[in-house]
Amino acid sequence: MSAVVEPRELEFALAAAPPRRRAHVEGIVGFALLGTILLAVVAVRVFQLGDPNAQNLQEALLSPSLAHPFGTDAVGRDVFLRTLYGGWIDILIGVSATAVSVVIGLVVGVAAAYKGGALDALLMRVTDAMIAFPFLILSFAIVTITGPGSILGVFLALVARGWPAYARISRGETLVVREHDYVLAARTLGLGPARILRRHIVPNVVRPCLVLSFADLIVNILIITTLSYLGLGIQPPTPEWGAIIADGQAYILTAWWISTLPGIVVVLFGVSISFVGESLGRIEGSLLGAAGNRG
Amino acid sequence: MAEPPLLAVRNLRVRFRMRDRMVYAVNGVSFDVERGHTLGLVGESGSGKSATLRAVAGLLPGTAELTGDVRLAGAPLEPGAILGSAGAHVATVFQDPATHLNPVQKIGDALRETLGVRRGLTGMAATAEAVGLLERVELAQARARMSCYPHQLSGGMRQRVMIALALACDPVMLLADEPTTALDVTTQRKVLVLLKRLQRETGMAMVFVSHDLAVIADVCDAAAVMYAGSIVERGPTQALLAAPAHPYSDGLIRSIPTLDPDAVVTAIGGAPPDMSAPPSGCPFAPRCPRCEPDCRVYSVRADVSPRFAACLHPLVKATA
Repeated sequence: MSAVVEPRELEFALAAAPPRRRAHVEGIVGFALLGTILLAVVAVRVFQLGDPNAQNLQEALLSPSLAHPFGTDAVGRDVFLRTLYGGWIDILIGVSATAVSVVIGLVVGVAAAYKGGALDALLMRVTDAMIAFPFLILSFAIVTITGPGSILGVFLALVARGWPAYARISRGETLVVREHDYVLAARTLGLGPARILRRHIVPNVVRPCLVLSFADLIVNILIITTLSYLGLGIQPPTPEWGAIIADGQAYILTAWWISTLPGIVVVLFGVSISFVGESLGRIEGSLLGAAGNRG
Repeated sequence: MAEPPLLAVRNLRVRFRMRDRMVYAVNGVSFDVERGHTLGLVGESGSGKSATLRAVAGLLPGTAELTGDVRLAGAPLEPGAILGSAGAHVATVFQDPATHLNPVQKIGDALRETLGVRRGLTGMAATAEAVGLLERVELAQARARMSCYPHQLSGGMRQRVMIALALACDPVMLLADEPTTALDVTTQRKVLVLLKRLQRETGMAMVFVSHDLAVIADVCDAAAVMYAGSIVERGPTQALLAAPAHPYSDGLIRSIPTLDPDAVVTAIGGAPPDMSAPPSGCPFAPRCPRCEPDCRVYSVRADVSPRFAACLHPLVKATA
């Protein structure tokens, strides 16, 4: 073995090694930010690091300091701690409602497109009706039934709003994918309809749904905060991002930190999800990654 | 009674319903393929060669109407039934391997899936067999390629994967729809050599559709020249190419460019007939240099003899 590398070989080695999973700056930022927020939220919740509802009227409306990074609110609760506790419920409901929406939408859309005919017409008219329904009225109705402050009510409202978009996307995609040559080829190999649906159609339909779901997750978390801001969602004193922000609104001129700092956390969380979704979309072969140039 | 041919096609007709008219794509095609033999279907675009193959394979779209008798090893097939799904050991290789492989399925998974469905292999056994198949189709670094997605492979490699998938069905017959048309010449050559070797090893029969006479000459025992949805000439490949009897076959052979700078390449004048209104008489008559008045009225009925030309005034007397 000679240690001398032929110049041509070296050149080839250099040219032939583009990093397969290129690290994008925004991807790194997104993952770091999301990881930090998730880690803090989960750690505080799991290890019960402090009581978010502990009041100390002597320490009311303190501005941010080392002891209270986000300051304290009107009854002397630590806003930082409440923000971290609040994230748990927002993220939990947001993620689960988005996931359930994707599954329902996917099943409805694929079934409508694959079966066609009357089932297709029926399912799609229901989908249209759901899309046409004003969201706030729908949430009022659901929350009235489940009772205000119900986590279930918020969850159902989110799912009711969420699934029709996925149904439409997956129906359209299924109509395209089922005509693709590889579906025909799979049939010539003797694969059954159920397997073709599961292994060859759904995996190609699911990606656009997942891409949307990342954007949708942000919207859902904003809706949870909006609902509690309006008093329809999670009720005080349970810490929740929207409730905390609504709480601090009355003091915005004297104690700006109560609403502003949790608000910034919500924004950072949304941005980090968006960055992560974007960077996953660029990584070849990843969950959201484009497979080659044929999308 | 002699053993029935592996594939017997009789009077196959395919027509496509269009919005306001019918297109008669295949008009009474009959042929036999014996075990281990290769039949080439050759013709220009729109001659019905692919429609014939797809009709046999059961791959025509819903707008197609199909009649005729197709028998596999003597057993009649339900018209339009997909051959592979009937559990028959027939596999299909397509023209464009890029679009016939699932873009989000690793090729190893595709092979394991097919092996699971067709041969009941799972787990390690399926993986080992999948690697074995990729090695048989001479895909370099077979084991490493198992975790590749189709878009990470070149055209030739993808076609090898398609062939490996076909082999996973343990075929007694391979239907090849222009399998080398989308490949460049050197890759085409390698894939043809591979197909011939696999055929020798497995003893499978092939129906090979191509517009390229050179390819047909290379792989096929017998060739059938198609024009306007009918077989116009059939014969052993060498005999047919050496002495074509039908003027259309002759024109097709003369239109092949060669590397000889002095050779004259002759194109066949005119265009194929509109298949929504097939002409009476010989369909080639309007373009035929040897056309006689009777050609406009009469046409020769196709038969299944091994050497045959559907021409009233053949260039050579084609006799069985």
